[in-house]
Amino acid sequence: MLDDKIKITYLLEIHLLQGGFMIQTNEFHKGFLSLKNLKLDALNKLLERAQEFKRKSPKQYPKLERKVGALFYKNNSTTQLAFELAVKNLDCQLLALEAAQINSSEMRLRQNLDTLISLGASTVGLMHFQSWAGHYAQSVCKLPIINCGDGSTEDPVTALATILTILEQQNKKNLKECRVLLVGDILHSGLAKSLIYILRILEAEIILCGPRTLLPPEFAEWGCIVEYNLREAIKNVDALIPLSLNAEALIDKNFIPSRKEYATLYGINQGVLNLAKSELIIMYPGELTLGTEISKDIFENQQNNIMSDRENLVYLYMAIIFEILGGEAGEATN
Amino acid sequence: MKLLIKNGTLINPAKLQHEVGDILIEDTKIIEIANRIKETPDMKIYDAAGQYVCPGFIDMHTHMREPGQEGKEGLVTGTQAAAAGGFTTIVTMANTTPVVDNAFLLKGLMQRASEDAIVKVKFFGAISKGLKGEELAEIGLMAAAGAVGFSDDGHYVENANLMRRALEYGSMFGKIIVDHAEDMTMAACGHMHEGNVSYELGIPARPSMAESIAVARDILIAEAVKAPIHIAHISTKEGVELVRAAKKRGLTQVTCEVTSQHLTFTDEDLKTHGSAMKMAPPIRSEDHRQALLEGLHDGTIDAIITDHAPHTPLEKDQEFCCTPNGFTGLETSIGAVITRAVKTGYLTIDRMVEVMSVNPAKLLGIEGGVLEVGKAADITVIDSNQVWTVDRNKFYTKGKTNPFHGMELTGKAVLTVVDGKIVMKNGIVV
Repeated sequence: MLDDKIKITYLLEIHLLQGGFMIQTNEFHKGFLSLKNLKLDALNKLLERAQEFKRKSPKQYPKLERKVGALFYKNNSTTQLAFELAVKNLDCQLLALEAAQINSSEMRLRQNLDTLISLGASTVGLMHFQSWAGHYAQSVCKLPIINCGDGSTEDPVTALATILTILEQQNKKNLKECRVLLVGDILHSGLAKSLIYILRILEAEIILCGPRTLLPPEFAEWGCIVEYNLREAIKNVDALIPLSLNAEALIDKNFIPSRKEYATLYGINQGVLNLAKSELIIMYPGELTLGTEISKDIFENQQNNIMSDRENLVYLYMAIIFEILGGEAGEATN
Repeated sequence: MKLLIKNGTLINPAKLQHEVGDILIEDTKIIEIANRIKETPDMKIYDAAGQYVCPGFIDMHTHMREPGQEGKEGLVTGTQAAAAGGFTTIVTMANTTPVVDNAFLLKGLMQRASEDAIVKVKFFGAISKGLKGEELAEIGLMAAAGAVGFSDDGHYVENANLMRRALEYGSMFGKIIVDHAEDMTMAACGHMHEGNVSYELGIPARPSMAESIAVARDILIAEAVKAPIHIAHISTKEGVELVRAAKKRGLTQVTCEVTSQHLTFTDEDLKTHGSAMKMAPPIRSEDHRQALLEGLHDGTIDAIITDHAPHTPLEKDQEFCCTPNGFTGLETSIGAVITRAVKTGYLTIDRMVEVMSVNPAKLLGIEGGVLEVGKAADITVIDSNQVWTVDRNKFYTKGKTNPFHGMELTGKAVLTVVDGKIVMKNGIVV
């Protein structure tokens, strides 16, 4: 009798331990800041999870019923909308601080995080204009941070959404022998860094193109081909990702002379696309300025395969929030 | 009362001395140096067996933050940190609030130091009024009041003509002019060394050429006007090479210094330490660190400093790009230098004393840098084999944010004597 009791307690403990252990060893429980050291299986898990959500009807979404904080130091971005929608889809409560409030000089990032913790947030989505702010936030906050873009450091989830879109288009699991071209301000683009990391994991051939001031040749050491002539770079690529340009700031700091010159040398227009493969996938992240990074005429040509990553962005935020909040184990508890 | 420091190895490069011996101190002066001095009952004894007895260490580049920034540091805590770290004299920079750009303020500060400081404190005056880089400060009057040199540290003297006049004018008074050589048109927006790590972190960076361009200009001006220039906290291989070349062609008036932090860390470490390791000029990559060690080894670099630059923990606890430059160094410098330069063979212990005591005294034209009968008893005793773990909570400085925290260092000051008085023993400030 006693033995049985001990046995049951023991089994219960094992069960709890395993449950706890599963949550503890989830690779995302320490936050989702960077793609640099992401393992291939973790990447596949996220992509598959996102696709699973994509296949389901909203009624089938898991109900996590947790609180998710949002600190967006940039207002009105499509990323913010995607994040908020993901939170709602998982039946979580959004704790969002107003941009005006979080930008106040008295309210530091750490205090804002403390506020969200005290209100019961289980994870926090952070978008910050300061580079490496995600790393800082995670170093002072015990909650897992979801990096929704921190300055020029990384924008991991957008990168995942972009790559998922390309994979879906190509109907592939990896990007072996696929040539992907990133065009623009590589130096200041967090998205570019995240894309490089994930493209390396998927074994794609990465070509970087942009003005020399915004693309130091050292990027060749990152396993990328560095090319300054867009008309050369575009040849034989399978996917093209134009990066958004903060033109005014770059002109101000003498990185580029003018919008017009940038558009002439590095803007994606039909003339450039005519040099490319006909089945080229063009990613259009939506934050590009028409006439600078990308020209209007390319939308008029029906042959162009222009894709948006915004829909996938929602599913990827859902996948990441789901994994961070315990994944299947969390779902079972709920 | 007499103090006898016995059985230690005397490291006295100014007298080409490296031998076991005893030093007897009475009141403020050294009264005897001999192989063996007989103990008498009126003597306090310190047994320095197995330890190095050196002329007091001089840090010719610190920030005591007084007046105006006492939240970061003050003369009391700052000099306690100096004593704890084995420094008997420190020199503090003029970038306080208000700026030390006039004799009146300088005299007041010297008075404060005479009341509150537990080690000797010397002062740099500003080169330009308000550190604005526009008009010369009253260099002559400050020199007369006791300034040991002049520097706009924290700011590069951008205006080449002003730099020329400062060198010409300053040389009349025999005082050193120290330039924070970093071209701000290139470096102002940066927060770390430019290179692969800055590209990875996406942090705006300060390229090494911002320093080398400024160093080259300063050397050319100093050469043309035949006046001395001292390059503050040199941090790049190109900068070191320029100073080396200048010295080679006989420009003895060109000198430079390096921080113990730049000898220890690289930009890769920033990924771990974050804002605790942020300073200007920035901690650079490994090739630059190696070049600095080489520069020390071949005598291109004249002095090791700490650039002790405390900030409040709150100021350092922000997003990386929002935090101020600088961190503390007084309490870790000797350990860092022994660990990174002496134990690795770049410096002998004698050369270490040269660059941390003899040369700073010479460059500043102040007393010190030598163990000599009749001279002030400023002495630093070092245990070069003591292995210790840095604990910022034991720091005397207010600037607790420090990348050395938790690091194991070899070598430590175990006794600091200022004017014959023990101010630190075994890490405890007396």
